[in-house]
Amino acid sequence: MTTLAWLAGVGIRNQLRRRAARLKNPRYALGLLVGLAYFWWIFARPGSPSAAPQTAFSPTVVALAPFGLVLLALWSWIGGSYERSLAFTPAEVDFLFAAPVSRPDLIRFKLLRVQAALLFAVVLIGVLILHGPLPWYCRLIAVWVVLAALNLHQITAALVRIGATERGRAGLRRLGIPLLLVGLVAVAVVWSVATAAGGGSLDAFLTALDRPVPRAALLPFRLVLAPVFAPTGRAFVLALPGALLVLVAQYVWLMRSDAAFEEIAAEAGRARAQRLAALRAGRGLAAPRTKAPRARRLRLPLAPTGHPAVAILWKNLRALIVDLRTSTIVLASVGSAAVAAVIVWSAPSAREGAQGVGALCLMALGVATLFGPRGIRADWRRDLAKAEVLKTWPVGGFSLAAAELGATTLAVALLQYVLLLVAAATLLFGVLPPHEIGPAVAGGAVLLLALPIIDGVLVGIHNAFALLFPAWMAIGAERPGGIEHMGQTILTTVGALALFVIALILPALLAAVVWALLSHVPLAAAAGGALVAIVALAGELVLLIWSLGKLYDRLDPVAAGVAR
Amino acid sequence: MIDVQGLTKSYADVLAVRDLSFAVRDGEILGLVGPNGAGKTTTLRCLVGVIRPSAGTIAVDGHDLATAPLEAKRRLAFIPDEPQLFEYLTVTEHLRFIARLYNVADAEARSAELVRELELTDKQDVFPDGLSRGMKQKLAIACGLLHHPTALVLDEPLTGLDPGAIRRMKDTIRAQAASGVAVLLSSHLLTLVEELCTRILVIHQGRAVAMGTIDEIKSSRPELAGKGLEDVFLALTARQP
Repeated sequence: MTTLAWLAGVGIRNQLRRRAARLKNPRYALGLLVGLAYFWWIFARPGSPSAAPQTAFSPTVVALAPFGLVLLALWSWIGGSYERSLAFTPAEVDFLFAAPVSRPDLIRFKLLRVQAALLFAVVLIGVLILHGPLPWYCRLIAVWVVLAALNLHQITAALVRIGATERGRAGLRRLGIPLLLVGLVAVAVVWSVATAAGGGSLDAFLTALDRPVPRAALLPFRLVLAPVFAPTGRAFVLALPGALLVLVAQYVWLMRSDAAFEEIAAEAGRARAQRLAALRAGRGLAAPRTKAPRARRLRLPLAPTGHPAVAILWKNLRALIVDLRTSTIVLASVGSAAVAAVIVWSAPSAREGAQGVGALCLMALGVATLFGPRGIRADWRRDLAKAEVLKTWPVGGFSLAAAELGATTLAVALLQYVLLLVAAATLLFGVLPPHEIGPAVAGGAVLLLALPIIDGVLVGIHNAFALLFPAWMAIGAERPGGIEHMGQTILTTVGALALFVIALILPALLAAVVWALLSHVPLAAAAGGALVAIVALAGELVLLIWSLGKLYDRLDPVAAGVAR
Repeated sequence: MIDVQGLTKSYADVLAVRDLSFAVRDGEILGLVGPNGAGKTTTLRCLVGVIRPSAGTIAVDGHDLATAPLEAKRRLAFIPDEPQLFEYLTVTEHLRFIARLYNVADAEARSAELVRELELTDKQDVFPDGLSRGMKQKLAIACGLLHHPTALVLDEPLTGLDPGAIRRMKDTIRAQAASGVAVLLSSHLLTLVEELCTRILVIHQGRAVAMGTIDEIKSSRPELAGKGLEDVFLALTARQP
């Protein structure tokens, strides 16, 4: 274990050194400055709500926090990705798994290695966000205990879930007692809440949480959070042993689960090579796949002949379909329906409820317009990692650029159309007065035409950043971290929005001219102005695609650092 | 046919390839060999259009890669040492995608033939992360051969293949050459080069240091007479004092 501890320590040290060395590059240094400035602005600037000194945490926060922690712990069991919790790098797999190292030692190594990321989060939460009455070092310790306990719990959940998967029914039986206990506690909590006086309000919920059974169920969570909320140094010292006790108990549970995992692995008798292959494929210590993964059933037709650029659009749409998990769709649908239900339920009348839902959809439309083209990345931002193959394709720069921007643009536009449709359905029927329906429909029609063009321009700008400054962007599956990357993200996001505003100047001017010329016929002025603006923006989009094609043709993937 | 004249590629102060000229005739297999850092990968990348040469011309079947890149690329196939596959496309979808990219009219029959030949039949609906390294290499090969290229560029084509697949890969390369395809094969495996290639191009520090059949190369250097390819290679690429 001494060697593994040394390896973990050296790994963390070298990671920090590499980050520090990277700062010699102006773009990383600038990124770090912007990232730090962002945190300062949000959390520490004079007048910032989070910078205001706090004497103690609000009783509501203290009462709700253990429940929040329960939800996070539950997520590890229901939906959390255990692959990430147990992921080893290919080098670790090749060297450590082949070496005479026991699995408990490997797990301890994994725990040590995760400390670098954990400490970053601790500093972020403890110093920048939490401004409690405790000295800063007490806050750091308190936050570390919470995050470490949560991390241990995630890994334990991962091992138990893997065990259950590998053992089939036997594994599920093994999970039976913990599941029964959790089920009983959940029933008790739900029953307490349901029978609390004044059901529905937050106070009633908090009262219910304070009843004996929920209180007992939440005890480990309260204990682990107690140092964070301690009002004085003395209270912190008194609360710390309880929190550490939970941490140690969680560690013991993890190691016992690990023993079970060894047993399970022996019983299963699967080939170790398969596990290594799974690890190499980035699937962590997950059970080896007995069946090769099959494609999602939703097919997209593609004729073997025709314009080759269509193949690239098809490929990127396919990427979006494969990425889109059923759980995401279900969660998004259920979440949206729940929010809509709350709005309608809390509104004084159905009309106002519908108005609220419509307004929310329009707000979501704005957010999707500004941030959708950044968040959805089925384009060059993903493909450039395979530039060595892309550059051999017999597709011209303009066609390739148009195809690369196409899938992301279509996906964002589809999302916007859904939001627009819901907004129209809720606002047009029974909410808007009759004389406003006509202009609203016309506005909606203009949006229908304009949105894909706006999306195309924004997606094009983000792709231009990827082609011009690939080191600033997350290319392919790469997910760089650190404050400097956050700073670069802020810079590119703000830069993209600034360029977009510049792109709007010409269409706006042309629309103003048309408006002025036709001002004596307001309807024609509005329609003409909108149409001219859309055509002008479309022209700019074509120009942007052409420029991107030229840029791509000149791109040297090796010099740009996107190919080995 | 691949025709390379005066190919030069430099990066800042590094001259990776210097004034390289050679041709791969139809039906010929030219072996490109050289020590690590000799400029092989840079040469291959220039040949297939991944990077632009600093100087010189490259033509595929008479189509200049600089002035008529699409015509040249339509005739080319590049199979890199590390298979570059899309993690979100299945085996079948990779082939469907490449078929459209190159407008392969007989895509269905050709795909079925390649899938059968390369033993990918039971993996057709599988994503790359469900394939072994060798299977991924086979898929990359299938993608490369799907559009009936007239010029085939291979970088370490045997990496990750099992003995049976190595045998079939060699047969495939021979068959491609026999059907008139110009094949350029880069490899560190001198036995493979000796076994398959019609001629050999040895590059060292970005320059061509020898080209021809093994016998021609040996005859040009009397001190190499009677020696094997490995000795010839080491003698040609020995570090200059």
